[in-house]
Amino acid sequence: MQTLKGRFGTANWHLWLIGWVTAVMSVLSFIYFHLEGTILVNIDSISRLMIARRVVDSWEPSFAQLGTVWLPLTHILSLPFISIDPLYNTGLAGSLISMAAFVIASLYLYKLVQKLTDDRNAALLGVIMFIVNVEILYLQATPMTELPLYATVLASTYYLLRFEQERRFGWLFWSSLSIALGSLIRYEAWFLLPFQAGVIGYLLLRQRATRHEVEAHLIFWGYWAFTGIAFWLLWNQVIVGDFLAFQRGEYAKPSLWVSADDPVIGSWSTAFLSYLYASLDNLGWIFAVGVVCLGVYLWQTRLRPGSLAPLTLWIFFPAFVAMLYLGQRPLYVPEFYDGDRYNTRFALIMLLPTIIFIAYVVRNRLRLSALTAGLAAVFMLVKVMDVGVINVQEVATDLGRPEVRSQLDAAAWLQANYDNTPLLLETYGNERTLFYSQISMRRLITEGTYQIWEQALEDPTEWVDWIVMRGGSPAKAGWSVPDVVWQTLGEDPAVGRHYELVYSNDSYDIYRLRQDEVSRR
Amino acid sequence: MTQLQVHMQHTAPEQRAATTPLLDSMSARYAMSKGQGIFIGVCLLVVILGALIGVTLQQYLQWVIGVMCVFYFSTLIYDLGLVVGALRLPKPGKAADSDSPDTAELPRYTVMVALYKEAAVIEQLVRNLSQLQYPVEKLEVLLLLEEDDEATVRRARSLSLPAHFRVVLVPVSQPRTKPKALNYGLSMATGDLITIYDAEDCPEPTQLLKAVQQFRESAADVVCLQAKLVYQNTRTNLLTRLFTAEYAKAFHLYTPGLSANDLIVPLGGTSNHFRAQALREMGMWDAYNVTEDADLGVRIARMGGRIGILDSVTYESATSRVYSWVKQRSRWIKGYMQTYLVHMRNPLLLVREVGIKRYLGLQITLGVSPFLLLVNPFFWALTVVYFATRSEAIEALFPPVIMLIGIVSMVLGNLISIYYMLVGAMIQKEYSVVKYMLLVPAYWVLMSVAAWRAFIQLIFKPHYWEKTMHEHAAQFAPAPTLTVMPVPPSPNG
Repeated sequence: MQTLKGRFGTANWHLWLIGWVTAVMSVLSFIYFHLEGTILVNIDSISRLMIARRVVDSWEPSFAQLGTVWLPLTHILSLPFISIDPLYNTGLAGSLISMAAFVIASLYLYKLVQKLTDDRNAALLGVIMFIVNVEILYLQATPMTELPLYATVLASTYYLLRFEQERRFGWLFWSSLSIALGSLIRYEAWFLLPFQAGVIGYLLLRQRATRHEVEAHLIFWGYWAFTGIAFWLLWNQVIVGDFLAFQRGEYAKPSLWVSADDPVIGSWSTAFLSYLYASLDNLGWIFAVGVVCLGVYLWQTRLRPGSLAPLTLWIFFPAFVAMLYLGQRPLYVPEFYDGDRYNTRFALIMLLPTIIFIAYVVRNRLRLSALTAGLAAVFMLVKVMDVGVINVQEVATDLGRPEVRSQLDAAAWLQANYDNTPLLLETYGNERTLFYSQISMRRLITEGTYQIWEQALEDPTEWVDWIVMRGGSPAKAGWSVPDVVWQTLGEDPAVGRHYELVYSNDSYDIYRLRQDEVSRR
Repeated sequence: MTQLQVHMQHTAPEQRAATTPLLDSMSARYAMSKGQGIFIGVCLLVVILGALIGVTLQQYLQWVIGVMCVFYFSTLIYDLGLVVGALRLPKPGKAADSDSPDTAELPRYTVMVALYKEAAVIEQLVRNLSQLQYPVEKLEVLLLLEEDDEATVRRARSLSLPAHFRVVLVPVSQPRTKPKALNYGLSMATGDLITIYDAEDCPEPTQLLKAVQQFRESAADVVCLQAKLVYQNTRTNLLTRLFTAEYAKAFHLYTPGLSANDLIVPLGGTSNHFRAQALREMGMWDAYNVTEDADLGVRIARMGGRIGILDSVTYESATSRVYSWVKQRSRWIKGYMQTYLVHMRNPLLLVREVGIKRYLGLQITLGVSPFLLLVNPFFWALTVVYFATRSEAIEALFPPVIMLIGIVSMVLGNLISIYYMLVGAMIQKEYSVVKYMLLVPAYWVLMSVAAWRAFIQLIFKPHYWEKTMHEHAAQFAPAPTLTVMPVPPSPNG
């Protein structure tokens, strides 16, 4: 260890070591999943890349292209890379953000556990349990936003813990800044805010602070903590004229993802069990151990100041159960959806409190720590050999579906034949078609093309040479709802008069403006 | 040798001892030099010529707005640098109380207070200054009264002053300013160290001892120490609450930040402690400058001196009336404008004397900041009108890059500015005022009002001294206790 310390030349050598090890693991994981072809298997990865790309490459490149549905921070962070075609096409432009977040999350996890337990071995155990989790390794290799969320949540919790332990208000600045960033990455971070505020208030009141002191600290913390949310509400208002467009906008309504007859809606038990099963899918047996350790933690600390911040991480469990119950988020587990899985990654966040409380319980017991780390690694190995990566498996089956095949075929045809003239296509539901065609979005009119979209649907000959529509006839199986272009133009005889059907498969019809129309225009 | 030193050498000793020792070239006696007048004339000519060859009003406005946005953004970055610098400062050492210098070796100390129409507070002032812990045989307190201020003179004479207090009558002459009185007092002062206070001040009793200690521990080029000023009547009304937080920000973040970054520190008007000889050598105070303190701060830098931050507090009493506040603030802003114009008479010489970093810092502290106070109302109006009308004409004034810089500066700049005041209030443990910081934008409106008043006065009454009426003097009270920079230096701590 002395050698290592000398090599890194700093008292924080252990942090440097974790940083380097996790960075190497991150890169190796990316290479592995890239070679496996699974980086972009989840359609959300593709969508995120395209959102960022549209900011610099679209009919009207601007920050307005960030839209109002998905939170913008990771898209903004990927902008420096998104214009570079190899990085965009491989997904690396988005993955780089996740990969950096993986390293940062590991470092903050280490610091958090170390501060909580005052035991470097326990902290190291925490990091090992985190980085051997194959679901984590997979998600950090993709443009998904889970790892950036974990990094900000862990950072915020760490600084809140420092405030608890030292009562220096400066830590609240870093805590609030971290959670503000998190609240611009995923909506889950929003749940944490009232509970962090509760920790600050409870702590100060318990230490007999004055009303003004409590109020001042809450304002000081909340000033930045709520800035992310405030910014997002204002952004929604400025872009589409509705503060809550992210919740009730045309492309944001929960009904787009959750059907009214979903078994979890209105059933607390099903919602609870769904999230529990999803947690077990992602974490395995250590989740159960983590629950036991939570009990031990509560018993030993008795909500003492200096122990509260990590408890806030458990809020994600009831929060997700409530969201499932209310039909706000779709999460399928095989037990309730005929063997289907969907969005099980929502439960992966429970890994964070699970790790922290296990590490707390085994603190100062070197052998037990080593044994726990070993068992966690072995379990992961067995799991990978048995079922593979759950978050890959749940979407990999998509690729075999005929409608996805149709998308990829249509994309290949476009890639070979599209001539970079104006094209009409709804992005929503056609992400793969657009992404894999690798066509420039500069001449593309989509639902995000301000004002022109409606005009192009009204009179396409004025605007576009190409029309791509999906899922029109009953024969085109697989899509429950045809896209907006088909709904508007699919049965319009004018399309046939002015456009020639140049490609058709089970799902897609592609039209091109007739030559005489081109010359007339 | 600096231009200033040359000027001082050419000044006769008797003239140096007088009330206006600086030559006009280094004084605010004239607002602008000939060169500055010509420069402005040439700029106007270029604008007119541009219009004649077809530069449109829209193009002009785009340029102006572009420059303003760069100013806003520079200020944002600059302030951030100051605050980070302040928070990275090491914690102050032990308090002087426990580590007092040997009294036998203490230097002579002169305390000067310029008083004009302060009959109401002079008694409390004497009480406050009597509490200063310093051997009286080595301490002199000069109460500088205007000869024709009969009420204050009468009141002072009616008090039984301690032996080390002296009443000095300043002869009636123009300009009627505080720095003129201080220069007069300095000509009679016998101290090796000099400090000045205001009429309503209540310095921490150990302040002089702390200053001696810090001067001894500092390099010879540290010629001045600035103590922290804290308002005591915080809870009087909203204005005093906001004023308190502003001072907390200034003296806990900005001034230490300037010092930490080795930038030019415009001194606060009171509780400055000087090495007497250096003060005389650098030309004392400019009698024509209405913020003689800020001017002196720049001059110290030009002569190669430095200003340190003294970890001691002087309690003051904030004005609680809006009109008085506007008058006081307009004097400060007018003084900043005067100081900027004085020291920018020869920009190249200034760069040579202070270096490019301090020069740029000065541009923002004394040039850009007062200027932005003047233009703020226009940008507020533009923003409101734009969101009300979505006018394309306004959109056209902001090319994309300028729009981006402008939005970042507006959103982040405003948020961060408010936050600095929050931090100041938290450091000072003024918890009850924290929530009022969310009303700071109203305070900015007042600042712009004061800035326009200052600008108009700079043209028509440049040397007019807006007298701030002090409602009462502060009294020493140890609470609220100050904390020692509790904001951690970095996220890695």
